[in-house]
Amino acid sequence: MKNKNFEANSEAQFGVLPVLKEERPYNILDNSYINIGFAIATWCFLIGGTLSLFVGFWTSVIATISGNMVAVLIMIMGTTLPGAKYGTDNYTNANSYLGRSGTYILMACIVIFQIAWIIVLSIMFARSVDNLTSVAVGTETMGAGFVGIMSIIAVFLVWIIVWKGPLVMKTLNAIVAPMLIIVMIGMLIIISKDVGWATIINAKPLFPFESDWVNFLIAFELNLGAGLSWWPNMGGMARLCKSTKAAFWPNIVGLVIAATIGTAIGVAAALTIGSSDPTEWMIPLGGIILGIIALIFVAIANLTSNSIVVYNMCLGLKMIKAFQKRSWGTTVMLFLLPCVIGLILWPSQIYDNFYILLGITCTFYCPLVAINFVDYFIFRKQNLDIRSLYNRTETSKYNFWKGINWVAIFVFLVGMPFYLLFLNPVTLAYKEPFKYITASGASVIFSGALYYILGKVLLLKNNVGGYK
Amino acid sequence: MTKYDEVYNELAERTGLNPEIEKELCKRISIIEEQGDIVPSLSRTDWICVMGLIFVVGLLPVFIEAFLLGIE
Repeated sequence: MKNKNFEANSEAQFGVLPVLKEERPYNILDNSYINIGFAIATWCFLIGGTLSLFVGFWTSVIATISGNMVAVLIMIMGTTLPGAKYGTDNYTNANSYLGRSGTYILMACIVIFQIAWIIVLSIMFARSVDNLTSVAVGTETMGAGFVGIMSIIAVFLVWIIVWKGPLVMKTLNAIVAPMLIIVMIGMLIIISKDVGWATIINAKPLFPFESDWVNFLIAFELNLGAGLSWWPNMGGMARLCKSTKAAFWPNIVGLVIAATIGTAIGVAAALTIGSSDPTEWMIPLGGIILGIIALIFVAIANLTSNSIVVYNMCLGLKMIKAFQKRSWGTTVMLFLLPCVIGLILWPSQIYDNFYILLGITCTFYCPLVAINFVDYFIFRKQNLDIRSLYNRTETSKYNFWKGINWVAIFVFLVGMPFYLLFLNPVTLAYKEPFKYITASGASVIFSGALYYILGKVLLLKNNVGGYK
Repeated sequence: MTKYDEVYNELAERTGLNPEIEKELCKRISIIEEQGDIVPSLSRTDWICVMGLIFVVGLLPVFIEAFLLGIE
């Protein structure tokens, strides 16, 4: 009996079954550590570097907090709340507004984005290790081959972490997250000691637009986009939390507060030292010992972030029949295999286009977050039919039209290019209306309103999709 | 008919899962449906905090910047 319970619990934590309350391992502190470990990675510092092109230190801090606060709160309402309430993951819940096959269509795109992110984070890990080893050996760099091998080792380490599952992730983040906060505060102190606090706060942005308002809005927009882009990584952890509070509020601690500290370091360093990446300046500025400690944690931070990305994506893959019969470890390995191939064949092509990836994902997740929000809060009033989430036949309330909610798919397809009417996320060339509403704001409001209108007319009126 | 039987009758062979996991799924769904919210949901205070954060920390700074910098 004990063995059977264990297997059922294991199937819930590593598969599609809803997780019951007594099986949930995370309290509010555990989930805060997880979110800090997830949010802080080299990407925070690089986003800080981009902000420094347009705004100074304090303006970037304001834009980062406000942009992330709005985006993350809207995004987590539709993802973590149903996840905690029903013990189900993000992709299972997506059946309720995309339909089963609709979810698969979107997952096919998301898998590609997630593979690219894993490659980027693995290279970030490898570059940190490269810097560390170079210092030890006394050379400038260990070379591209070394970075390549280290990035594949990063994927292997992530496979071990995710294979072992939520309890190992909890323990790892409980150690790493507090250290990361200490290291980041230490970094800020080191920079301010080296260049002076006054220099940081008085430093001018590097390549701003003429208008200060546009500069602020670009910084705000980048953070809105970053906040919304956490969407595919939500829900998986929320279902493991003992209360809805524990699932919800830690996202603010990690994705808003911790991410803002990381971004602020990136801005401060880019404005004064000329590089946002701490792996390049920590040792010259902080000295060998402090520098090495900081770099070790920055490297590990990329692994903890990657493990959350992989865990959530693999939970989604478990919905697909081909993965259901495979063990958790094999599922994770199969998902990571294309990452290794990408790291071998196109490492620099993917890493050097980090900002293009961020831009494309911004346009992708804006309509998705809006549809998710309107459907869960307005149409379904926070109630899902859990039987229909798992029913794969036409008798499911969430069957829509042959498993696809074409209204959601249409709104998604229209909402994505709508973003481009305001801003090109790759070149950051903006159009006049951007100054009044931002691109992410416009896309979310437009997609939400369109889904509301079309949903009322085509779904609710015709009794399609199980809306009461 | 128990809740479990009711769920099982509706979902049997319709989930694409193997029979053992399907039974476990039905057991879990019946528990969740019987209990309603299986974990405490957000309180009214939480929602007030959410709204407060969106407006005070999220949007107000943007309006202040717009006022200080001028939209044009």
